[in-house]
Amino acid sequence: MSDTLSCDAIVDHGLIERYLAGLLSEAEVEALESHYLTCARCQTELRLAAAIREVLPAVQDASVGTAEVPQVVAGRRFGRLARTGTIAAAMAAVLAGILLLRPSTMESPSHRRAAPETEIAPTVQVPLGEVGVVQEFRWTSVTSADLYEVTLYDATGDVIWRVDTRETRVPLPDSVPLAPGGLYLWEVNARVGWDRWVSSELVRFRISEP
Amino acid sequence: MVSAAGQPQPEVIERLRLGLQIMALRALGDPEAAEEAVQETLVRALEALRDGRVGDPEKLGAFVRGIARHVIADIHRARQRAAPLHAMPGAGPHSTGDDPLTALITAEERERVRLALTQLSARDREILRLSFFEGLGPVDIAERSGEPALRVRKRKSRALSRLRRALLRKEPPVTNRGLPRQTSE
Repeated sequence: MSDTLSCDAIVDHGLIERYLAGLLSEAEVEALESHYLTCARCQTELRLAAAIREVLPAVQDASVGTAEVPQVVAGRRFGRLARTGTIAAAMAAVLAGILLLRPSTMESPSHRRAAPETEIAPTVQVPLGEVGVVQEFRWTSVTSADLYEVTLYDATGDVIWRVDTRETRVPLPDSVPLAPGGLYLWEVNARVGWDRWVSSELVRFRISEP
Repeated sequence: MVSAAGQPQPEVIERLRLGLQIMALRALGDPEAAEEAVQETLVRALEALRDGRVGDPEKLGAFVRGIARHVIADIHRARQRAAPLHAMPGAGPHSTGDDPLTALITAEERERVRLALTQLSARDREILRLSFFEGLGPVDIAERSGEPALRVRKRKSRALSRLRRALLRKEPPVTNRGLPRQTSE
């Protein structure tokens, strides 16, 4: 019998995920079970994994509907559009813009699923370098991308804001204060197919001192 | 872990109990049968400890697992005698649609994890799906997504850290996705 596993090795090798998915060998199951019987940390990981497996599918299904228009956008800067035109109209406008910019996508919408392996990554445009004020984040569009994820980090690398959108710009909400003199980093990831993403460069900008 | 009299500390017994619940639920599927297996295994394990039949206390987990395997096999056999296989709910670890381990999650914990999941990015959720449903590691996910494995690993670690805090309630859930964590005033 083997009881030589460490918690770190279990995490590093994804043993809990594979255990619950039924993908471990008998020897691996024996080692893992012998370990977690007396390990509080790994028992917590197993309970967490069970919770994720139960809840995640419903959350993912629900997010497909809510990702049509970013929550922050719908509630703030683009509130007028959301109130007067409905989400369907907003989506129609976005779609029209996409079709105008990229006629090739109109010819074959299914290209989104068969994204080329060498999909060009989005390029961040604004903000960059030294800036006075940040009102929005903007980047180049990616052919066949159906969703963008914007992440803003502080200078220590902590995530301070993240949002999903189908557009190539997103306003910075008032609830995200950027300090004068502060250094920030941001990136945008474009979803170009089922579980396929391409990432921009991680770029930095600094808010000018008044 | 084990006292001089051969008895494990109370916290060790509780830890064994939860570990056995996980193991038995996964093997038997049915919470009632799993509880029976846990009780029987604990009784046998404590007797063995009292009688000094556990050589190396560091091997306690492996020793108890050996007992549990026998107990679970006995319960399987008893169930097979009592009912035809096709009529048994939870005849094996993956024979039911629902994950039996969810019996170990309270409704409150489930809701906290659900809220925390809604606050993750779609991409992070996708990494979790590939990990927990397809059993893919960061390298496999990186190959699919085209991003560095290190970045996948960091994303997954960060996401799990948030979910773990939610499960253990080390921080209150934030309900507005997209808002910064530290701006709740």
